[in-house]
Amino acid sequence: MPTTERSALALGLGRCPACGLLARAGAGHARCPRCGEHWRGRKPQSLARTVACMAAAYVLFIPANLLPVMHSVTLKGEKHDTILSGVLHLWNTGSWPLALIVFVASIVVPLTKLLILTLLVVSVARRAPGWPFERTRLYRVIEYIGRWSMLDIYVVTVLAALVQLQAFATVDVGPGALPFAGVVVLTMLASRSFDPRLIWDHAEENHA
Amino acid sequence: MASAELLACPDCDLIQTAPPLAAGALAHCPRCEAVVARGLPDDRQRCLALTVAAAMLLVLANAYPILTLETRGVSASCTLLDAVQRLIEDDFHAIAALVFATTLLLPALEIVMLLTVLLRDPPPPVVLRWMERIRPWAMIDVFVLGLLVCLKKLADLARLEAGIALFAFCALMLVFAAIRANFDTHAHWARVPLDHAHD
Repeated sequence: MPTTERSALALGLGRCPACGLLARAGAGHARCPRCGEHWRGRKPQSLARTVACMAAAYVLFIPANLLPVMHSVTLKGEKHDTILSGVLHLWNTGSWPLALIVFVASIVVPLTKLLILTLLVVSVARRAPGWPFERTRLYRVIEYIGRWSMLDIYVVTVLAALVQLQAFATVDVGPGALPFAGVVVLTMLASRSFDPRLIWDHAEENHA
Repeated sequence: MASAELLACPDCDLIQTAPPLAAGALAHCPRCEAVVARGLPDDRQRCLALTVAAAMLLVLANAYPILTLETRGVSASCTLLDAVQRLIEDDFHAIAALVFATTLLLPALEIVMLLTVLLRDPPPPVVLRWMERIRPWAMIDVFVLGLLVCLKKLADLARLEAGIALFAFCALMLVFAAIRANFDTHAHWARVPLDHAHD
């Protein structure tokens, strides 16, 4: 890595997270001269906040998948569907593209986000210098895909509102929806509070 | 965009200069390949037209039903607000608030903020700041995908009729995408004067 590459922090400069202005970093706390945003060199307590959100998300992940997200009563009988059983039902009735979409959005995405964030947090906490580019790329991927997990919440909401045909079929939102929504929101907050520049701080230390 | 400027990469903090870019061009950080600058058409007229279109579509999307279901003489339809109300009735207040915020409140707020930035000179920095913050939480695109999943799931159950709102939401998703492709946040920040009274 060329030794002429320097981070803003190392040069006593900082980039305002809100408006992108590059300015001289004052001691401690500063306000951006253009937009008034409070900023420090790195997102404040990035690791602590990320870990807190992740811990809560891990905890909620269990009831989110064990509790049913949807109750449906049709002429065939009553069903309580967890996310997983809903996916299997779609698969068994031949709608495998749909099954795949819901499976990816509701199970793969949150789980992958949590695991990758765990990897990133541990690597930064241990000041690991390796693979900074790959780690940053992983971060960008999970930042982008996180919001798509809201999919199942919208599906259940609209189905419950529409399918209220008393004699034939009714659909209700199940208790699992709440922890699931919690997981989606918490993982979004977790990746927003993680500062990817921390990865490069440690990579730089080892190459300077 | 003006001449080359000094900036720090938002993902890896590397100090670098971004050259002036033609419309549609992107500048990437040499170290981590993050997008550090965009050549966007600073076409305020186009953005304004798109924003007004978004506002009209948002109204349509909420004034009319999304879907109408019909089977053996019984029919049901709902608008977005009907769905939110149903969640409240079933005591899912938190989810109702989340759905309401991500599909109606925040997109509406984003439209108001866009109009403010496009029409006020200089644009208020508070508005520009919050626009960036709420952007990932305005989830019309995810909502549209959710509606399509519902469509498929319900197709077996009953006769379906797509409502005006469904098309409005689809169009709204595309309009927001077009706005993001045309709205040059950086150029608007450049219009904000530096005010050292904040220090």
